Amino acid sequence: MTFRPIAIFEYIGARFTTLLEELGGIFSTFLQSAGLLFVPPFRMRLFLKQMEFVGVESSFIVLLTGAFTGMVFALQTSYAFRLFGAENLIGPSVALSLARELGPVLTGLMVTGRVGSAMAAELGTMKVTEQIDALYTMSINPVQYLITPRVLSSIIMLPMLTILFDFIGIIGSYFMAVFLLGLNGNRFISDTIYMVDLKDIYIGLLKAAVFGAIIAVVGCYKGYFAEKGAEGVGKAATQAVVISSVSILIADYFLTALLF
Amino acid sequence: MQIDIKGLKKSFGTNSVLNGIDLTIEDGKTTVIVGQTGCGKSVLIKHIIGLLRPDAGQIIVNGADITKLKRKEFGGILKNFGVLFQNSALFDSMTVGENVAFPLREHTGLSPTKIMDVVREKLAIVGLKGVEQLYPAELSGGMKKRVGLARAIALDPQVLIFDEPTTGLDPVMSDTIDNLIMNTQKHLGVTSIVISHDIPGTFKIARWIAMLYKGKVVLYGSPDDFRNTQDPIVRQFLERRAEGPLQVEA
Ligand SMILES: Nc1ncnc2c1ncn2[C@@H]1O[C@H](COP(=O)(O)OP(=O)(O)OP(=O)(O)O)[C@@H](O)[C@H]1O
Ligand SMILES: [Mg+2]
Repeated sequence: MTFRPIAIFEYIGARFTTLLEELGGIFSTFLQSAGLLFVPPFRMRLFLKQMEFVGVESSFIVLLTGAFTGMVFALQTSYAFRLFGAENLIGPSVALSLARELGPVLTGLMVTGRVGSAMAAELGTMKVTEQIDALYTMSINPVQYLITPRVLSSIIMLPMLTILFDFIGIIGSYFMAVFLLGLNGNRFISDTIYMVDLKDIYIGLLKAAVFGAIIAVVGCYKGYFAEKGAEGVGKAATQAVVISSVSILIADYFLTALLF
Repeated sequence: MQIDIKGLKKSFGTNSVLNGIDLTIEDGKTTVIVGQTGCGKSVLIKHIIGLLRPDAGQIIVNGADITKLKRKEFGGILKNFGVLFQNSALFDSMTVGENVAFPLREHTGLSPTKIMDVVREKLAIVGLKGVEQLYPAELSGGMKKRVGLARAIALDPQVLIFDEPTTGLDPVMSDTIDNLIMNTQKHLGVTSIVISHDIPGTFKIARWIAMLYKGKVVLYGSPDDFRNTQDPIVRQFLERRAEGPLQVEA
């Protein structure tokens, strides 16, 4: 086989077409599931179960990643700020980056790996073993039963997890700055509070809510339309993670450009 | 509920599965659909419950063509149907008890204790006892099938649609299920559509039998019509011979 440089363009072109189709499907899944939120029956139990799965059970990995992100960020910024004797900016710059960017984005990416893939795998298994068909024959709307609670709880839980991430991240950077770099603790806190606006935090949380919607809708969409047995389910889970992660980064750009 | 299937056609890509099925499911009677594996029996009933859309043809229920209904509008019709899928399709995140209770919880206002009573009763009908707490993964294939049956009859539907209810069950259990189908038909006037590979069972339970071949109904009639037919295809199938005009498709 000869190497054809043009092939790479063909490949990318083909991928773009399927991407557009896929985006259409994902968006319509979102609209459907959101619309069904306002139609009875309201299934509190399913919703609480998903809140626990998305929120409570993700808290530990968010805690871990948050703490280390805050610490490494304090360490990195300290090198630069030292040069100017501006160590007092470590706290504010860590807090701002966490609230505006790193908190929502890293939380989103971590939760994608855990929750998005699980949703795709679970719904995919239900699809290929005809459990979704069975729901439908029992006059249950499968989108409302399966997707709506997942999307809603992710939209609510991602901002919560982001708050946790930001908070732990700032504590991590505080420890780094005060105990390892020898900065003044009170100064660190007052500078941080002075420089960080509530707006920075709100917008970060808004981003997180959008990422939550992306994670759940993509995961559910991929699972709901899974085909061809176990292999199809595996593929759905992988693709859910890839598509959500990329979408989160793209959405992050646009939200930042629009909101700040 | 009478169901009239007229000129139903369905292809998947180049694989044309149904080539114009004409079939009437008589109200209050049991109709058994037989035919070679892969001939489209499951595909046919998936059209009746609205899971698949035909390429052409109609399915008339209560005077209306249900193939024209939107999925949402199917709900009203499906409430009268109890469906057993070929692979049981139990919810694997729920216990056996929760599976059977599911339609009751969703569609009746019964109290939890009353629901548990109905669940036990339906499970007893299919010969299962004390399995409510087990998960589907902990059941044998035949047990899953029977839980699927119990779930399908939980709401006492007017129409039962059973895809191979006795496949994988021992002969005694198969006969128990056959009796269940006959009794619900006799006492409650239930309309049943049963797909089966079990020839003796078919002759026992059927008021009408339809045999599918090459996407069409080759013979529709009473069990006696089937016993007396000279059609070589039907004869070969009933006598379970490998030699004859019926070919095993590769
Ligand atoms: N969703 C689908 N997509 C593509 N092809 C399908 C689909 N469902 C069924 N088929 C094809 O339709 C044909 C009939 O399948 P069907 O499941 O109805 O057979 P069957 O008569 O129920 O067989 P069995 O007795 O083994 O259950 C097969 O060739 C199958 O490959
Ligand atoms: Mg079948």
